[in-house]
Amino acid sequence: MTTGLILNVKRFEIHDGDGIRTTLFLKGCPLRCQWCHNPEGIGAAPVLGYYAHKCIGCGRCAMVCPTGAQVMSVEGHRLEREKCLGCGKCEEVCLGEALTLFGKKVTPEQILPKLMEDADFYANSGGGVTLSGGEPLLQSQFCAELLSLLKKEGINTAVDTCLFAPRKALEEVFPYTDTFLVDVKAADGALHKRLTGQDNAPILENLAFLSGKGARIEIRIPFIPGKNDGEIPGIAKILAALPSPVVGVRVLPFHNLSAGKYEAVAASYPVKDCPTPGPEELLAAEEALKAAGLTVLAK
Amino acid sequence: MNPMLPFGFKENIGFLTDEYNEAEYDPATGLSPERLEEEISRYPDEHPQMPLPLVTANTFAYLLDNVQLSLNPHSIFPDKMNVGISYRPFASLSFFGKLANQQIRKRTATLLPEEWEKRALAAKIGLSVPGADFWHAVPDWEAVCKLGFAGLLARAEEQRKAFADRGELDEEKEIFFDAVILSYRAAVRYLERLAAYAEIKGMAWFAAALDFLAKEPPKTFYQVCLLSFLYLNIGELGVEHYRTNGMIDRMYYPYYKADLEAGRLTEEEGDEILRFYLMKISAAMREADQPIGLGGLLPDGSDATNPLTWRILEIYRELDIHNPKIHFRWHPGISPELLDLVLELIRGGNSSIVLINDETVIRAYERIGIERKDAVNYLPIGCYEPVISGREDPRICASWFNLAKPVELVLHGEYTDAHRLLGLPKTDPEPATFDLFLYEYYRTLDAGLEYTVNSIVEQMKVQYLVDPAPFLSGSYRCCIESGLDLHNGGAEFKNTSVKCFAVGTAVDSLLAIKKIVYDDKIMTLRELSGVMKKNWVGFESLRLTVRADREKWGNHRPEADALAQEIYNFCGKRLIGRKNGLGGVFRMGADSVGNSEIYGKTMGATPDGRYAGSPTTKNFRPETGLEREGVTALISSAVGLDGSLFLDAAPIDFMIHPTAVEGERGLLALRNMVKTCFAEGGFAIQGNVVSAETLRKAQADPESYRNLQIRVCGWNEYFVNMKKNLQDDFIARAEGIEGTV
Repeated sequence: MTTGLILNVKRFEIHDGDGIRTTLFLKGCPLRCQWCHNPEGIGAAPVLGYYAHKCIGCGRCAMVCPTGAQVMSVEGHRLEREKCLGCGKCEEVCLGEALTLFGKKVTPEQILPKLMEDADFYANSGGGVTLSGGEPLLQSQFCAELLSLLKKEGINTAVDTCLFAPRKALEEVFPYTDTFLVDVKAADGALHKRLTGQDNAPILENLAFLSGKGARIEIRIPFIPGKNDGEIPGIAKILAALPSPVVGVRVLPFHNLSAGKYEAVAASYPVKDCPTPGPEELLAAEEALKAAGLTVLAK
Repeated sequence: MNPMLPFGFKENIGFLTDEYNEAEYDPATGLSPERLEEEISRYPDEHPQMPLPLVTANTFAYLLDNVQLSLNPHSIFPDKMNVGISYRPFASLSFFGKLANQQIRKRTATLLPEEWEKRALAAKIGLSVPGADFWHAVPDWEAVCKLGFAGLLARAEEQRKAFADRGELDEEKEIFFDAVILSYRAAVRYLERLAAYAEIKGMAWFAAALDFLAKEPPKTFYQVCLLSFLYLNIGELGVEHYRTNGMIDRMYYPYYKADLEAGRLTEEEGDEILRFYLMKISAAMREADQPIGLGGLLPDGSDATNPLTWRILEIYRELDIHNPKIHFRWHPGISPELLDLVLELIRGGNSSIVLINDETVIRAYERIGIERKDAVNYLPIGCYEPVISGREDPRICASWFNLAKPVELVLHGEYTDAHRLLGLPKTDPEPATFDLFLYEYYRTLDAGLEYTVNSIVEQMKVQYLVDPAPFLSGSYRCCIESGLDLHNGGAEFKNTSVKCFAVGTAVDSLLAIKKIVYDDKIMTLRELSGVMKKNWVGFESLRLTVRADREKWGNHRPEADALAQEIYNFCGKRLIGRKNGLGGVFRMGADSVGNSEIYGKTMGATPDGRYAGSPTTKNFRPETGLEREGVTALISSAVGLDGSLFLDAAPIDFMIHPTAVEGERGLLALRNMVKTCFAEGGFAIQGNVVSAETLRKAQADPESYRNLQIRVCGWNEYFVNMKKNLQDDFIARAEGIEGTV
């Protein structure tokens, strides 16, 4: 059976589809969005998260690290990231729970019971399981197998995707996905490339493909002041022209709550000083979407 | 303007929020508390031949006849008595209550010297503190409203005569009736005296209301609210605290509706009365907050909510107070919009609300043989404990029982004076397997429960010789019809409750012993005992390893959940339905209230990683900081326990980060969370929607966060008023949930 590389499982999640959900985050993403709120999910290789304030200096990580990435000295503990292979041995022994490996290998069968734990909550709320990331479609075979197992259990499924993926990946998950939560970040191709590192043409083609197949699609637009805030009318136009209407559009205002995670994986956060959009800006964005005949969903 | 509303709320609010604390008493109206205390404390010694119920009634009457009065001209519920209560930080007992408390202790110690000694020992080692619990009481509010003071008096007089006419008025009954009649006559005289004083103070409107209530049952919405306060203030002069104002929406609605229909009251005026009513409760500063009950099922199975339920909740939201606290009875047919209003309050920071599941309460009553038709009339009192209104004597806190203590006792394997006196077994100091360790745990648990139950029974047998309650009994039809005081077996259901708490500490400690001693063989049981006695010094790594283990109570882990179920099933078999020697049975609860701290102080370090003297786990919560899986896992662990085991309450305390329940979807998720919890048989749910960041800011800058409330157990406190260690505990807990957000 296929293995997947996962980041995390989050229960009682209300932002990733209908009802009370459990979201499984998968590792690896083809885009490099400047505002990414899951920096630990970007790279395809496992990455060690280190929360320095939780370290109690027990030194057990240094004892098990095969490459000497974990160093104990008179000054205390130090992580030499360049030596880290992401094996996760240190996480198992860390007493302060300061080390977390982002990127663990699991099979669909192994992770299924965890995703089923809140089945009663799904049933009572119209919720279910969402695959997110990173970009889940980078691991489409794993996703398809897991989604098919969930469907056998009668669980509502959703895939949260940027749609920058081969068509084949979409076709694999399509039969087992109740809702696609699709991020659209910019209408203008050049701007999209500048903000995310990739062209948006394949994304828009995939979106049209899914829409043409009658998929249930919810659109999510990250709203990043100074970055893509002028893109709403263009996005609205694209959405309004899709073969079948989307369920609705949600505008997701930028927040910088991920700063701690950037620190934990020692990544730079290009938009950390970006302001949170004000209510007027959000309202204007929503009005523009409504004007194009789209249904705007609450945050 | 309605004659009952001589002025508005808004312009008087400055004179209402702290009116008890600021009250000035008129010396011309009576004796000072010091003088009263002097007279009243002499009374029993001066009347050595007088039966105790009559001593109680006569001193009560003397107090009502002579207490100094105060009228707040800014309130429509203006009256207060000068009984030496201090209102900081919470309302203390009155001097009369303190005297009664001293007497109870003295009399119990005299009547049951050995029992008293054992009880002190059980408390010292932190096992249990069995007693009769005179402190949780509730009158028959329906009867109080229906009959009023004069009607309750007349009913007692009629029944006394009926017993006499039948030749059944023996000495005990005669004393009982005389004590009730003396008490109610005094109450009526008090109302008349208060009315005369109101006249003098130029408050003719209030004098008229009092004159009416001295003779008649209430007829209007205002009168029924006023009567509640009058009855509460009079009834609570002693030790019995009335732990709810009743299911006030269903109880007051007929008056409210009749007023509206007759054109005596507008909806706006109704709202004004509610503002005064709720603020009056807030100002009284009752410790652990005074409850009001809302919602629930009617006896015919239909929903009891009505337009008044909505108005009460709306006004409560507007006033932004946490006292009264609200007992909201949930059932599957409750209006989703009404539930949303309640959940919005909780989400918005007013967490002084507990949702209680009618179906689970009813099943729990059926388990002790009380039928659905009777159980459906339950009334939550205190923190969340159901009693059958007007028929069940609520000894809801006869004892707590520390489930973690037997783990500690078996671990150390000693045989002490406490073992000998409390009947605890000599256990194997080195059980060869974990199953044998568990066997010793259950043997000790069994003996501990046996001691606790027997001690309660012994103390309940002498309760009438210790604390008769004539005024309270006068409200109960069953007492008046049987001629027996509530504390002399007058109730129809004479049940007593034991609360088995600290399940998280017990389960996690047992599983840690299994791992350290039996599975991984890191050390022997004797060595582990030594480590505990040294409070983990030198073994911090081991302590953290234990804490890092995922198999912990409250996280929906199979082994931990199964062990908790086994422990509660064991306790349930020994407690629930067991005859208590008074014609009633035992009930079981699982909530800890403040006892997690109190009992925690008596305990050494425990193998779950807890340090000596730290609190045990609270209610169904996991150990602080170990709530790794979030709210759904906590609920799943808790509902894995059969809710019908816990007639005496088993609340689930959630803590949710605000971003997890924001917006419309968040409200819907909260609603469905409650629905799932209750569909799975959960007993009650309450909680806080707050982030660690907010709590940290509040700790650093209390001035800016004066109104930040925290649900502590079955009540709320302002976060900034909490002790630092308790604040830190909540911050740690909120940090713990952040990983799940």
